Amino acid sequence: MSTPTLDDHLWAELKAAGQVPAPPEQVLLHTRAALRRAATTETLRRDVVRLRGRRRLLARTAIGVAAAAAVVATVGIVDLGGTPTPSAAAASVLTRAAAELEALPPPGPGQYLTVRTVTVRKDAAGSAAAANEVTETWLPTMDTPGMERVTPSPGAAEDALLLPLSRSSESGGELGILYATHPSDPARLLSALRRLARAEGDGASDGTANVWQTAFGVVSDNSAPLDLKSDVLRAVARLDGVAIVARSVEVGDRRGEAVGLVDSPHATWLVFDKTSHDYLGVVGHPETGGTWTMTTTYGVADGAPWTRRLERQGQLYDAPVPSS
Amino acid sequence: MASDGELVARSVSEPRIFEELVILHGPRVHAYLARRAPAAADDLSSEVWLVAYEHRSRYDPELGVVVGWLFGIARNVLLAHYRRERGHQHQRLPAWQEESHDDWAQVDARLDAAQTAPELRAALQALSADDREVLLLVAWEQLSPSEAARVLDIPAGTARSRLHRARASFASSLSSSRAERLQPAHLVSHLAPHPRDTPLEDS
Repeated sequence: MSTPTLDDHLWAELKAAGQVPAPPEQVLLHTRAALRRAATTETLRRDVVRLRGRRRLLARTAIGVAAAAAVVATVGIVDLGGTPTPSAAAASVLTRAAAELEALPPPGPGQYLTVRTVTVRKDAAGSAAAANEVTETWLPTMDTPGMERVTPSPGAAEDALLLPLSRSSESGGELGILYATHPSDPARLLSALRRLARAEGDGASDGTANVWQTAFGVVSDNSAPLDLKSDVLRAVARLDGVAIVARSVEVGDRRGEAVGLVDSPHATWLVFDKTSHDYLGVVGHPETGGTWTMTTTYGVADGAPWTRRLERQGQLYDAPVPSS
Repeated sequence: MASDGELVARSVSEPRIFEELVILHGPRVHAYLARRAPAAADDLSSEVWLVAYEHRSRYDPELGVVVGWLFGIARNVLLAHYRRERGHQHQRLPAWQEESHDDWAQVDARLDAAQTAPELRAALQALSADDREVLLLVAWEQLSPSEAARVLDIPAGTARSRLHRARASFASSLSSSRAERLQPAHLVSHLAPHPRDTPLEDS
């Protein structure tokens, strides 16, 4: 007796049984946007975080001072003020900035908190590079999903992506835990940031530079709630080595004083308005030269544009669609 | 146009490039998940791509093509999903399902909803989970046996053997059940050996 085999008819029937509908367009857009965020974060972090295992003597040596001075020159500092300001001054700046964030007018019911970040990269000669990016986020007050629009640099082949917001609070692991349960006590929150810094990847440590970069990640995260950001600012005010590193620095079209790590010339700087104490944005200093800045603007909107009701897995939700 | 392998390699230094792989293979990966966990496919699909992105520097082209690597990640994400689901169910599953690499109940429910012939579902269920997995990777995901082997992290020869066994067993079950239901003679008579089913040596 011969062995039965799968003839073409049965094979076609089996293949037909595997047919499923094409994925909703929003699913792939969502995935692409998540990857784009991850890529942007990785690029920025790669530029500034190569501090692991580095000796912290850099700024204390003549070479280190020269390197720091070169970085300072590229970001338009007009007054460094000589030796770094003691960390008590930085703590004061961070604490006041935290209070300002908390004092932002809250959106009313049905309104959205809007967060707009503009990332600009410049080469060592000060020319703006092609990797600029605008991210606009609408965080809802009601039980509706947020939205996000990511626009690459003008002229880029990629289109802007409009999609439901993916929140870091929905992440797993230490990041999700931090967002979901963050303690307001600065010491406990600093411990949580250290845990998150340790958990970030191969060889990650809870050293000062990593904790600082982790804090930068939260403060510059559009989806992070404002109370978490303000608490993080208060927490890192306790971090050794945090100091005012520049009295006047350009970030986008604004100018403010910068807080960073005194002995890490490539660490990210957080920039604050000297008068209003508003958080303005971030300046990064790649080891490869040049700078990047990320400015942040908060606002309140009555509604999120480009929405429509879509059904996904039996539930209705607001989804962005391109304006035409 | 850059190959998949070139895209992965370049994305290590130029992370944005990885997004192109989603455009190229996103629907296939989503379909794989939708066939096996329909309700969770949207979320799992995103998870697969983020895991792949995170591990892209570990991709080794000598171990197979990018598609096989991606489906391997998708399979791991799917298995983790099944484990979570079973944990949530707080109930003891039948032994065959405890040890299974798939969750046949979910696959079968989808087939049932799609009004797939009952005897075809029964023929698939009768296969061992290992054999069924290879068969469906080839039939549904259009992978070659070698690519399926990459997904399952088994030797290519093993995948071919399983495929051969699965095809024969599936054909036998399906034909028998239909032969019983209809007029058996003319249906069984044309089930001759097929050259495609010949086991090949390990390459």
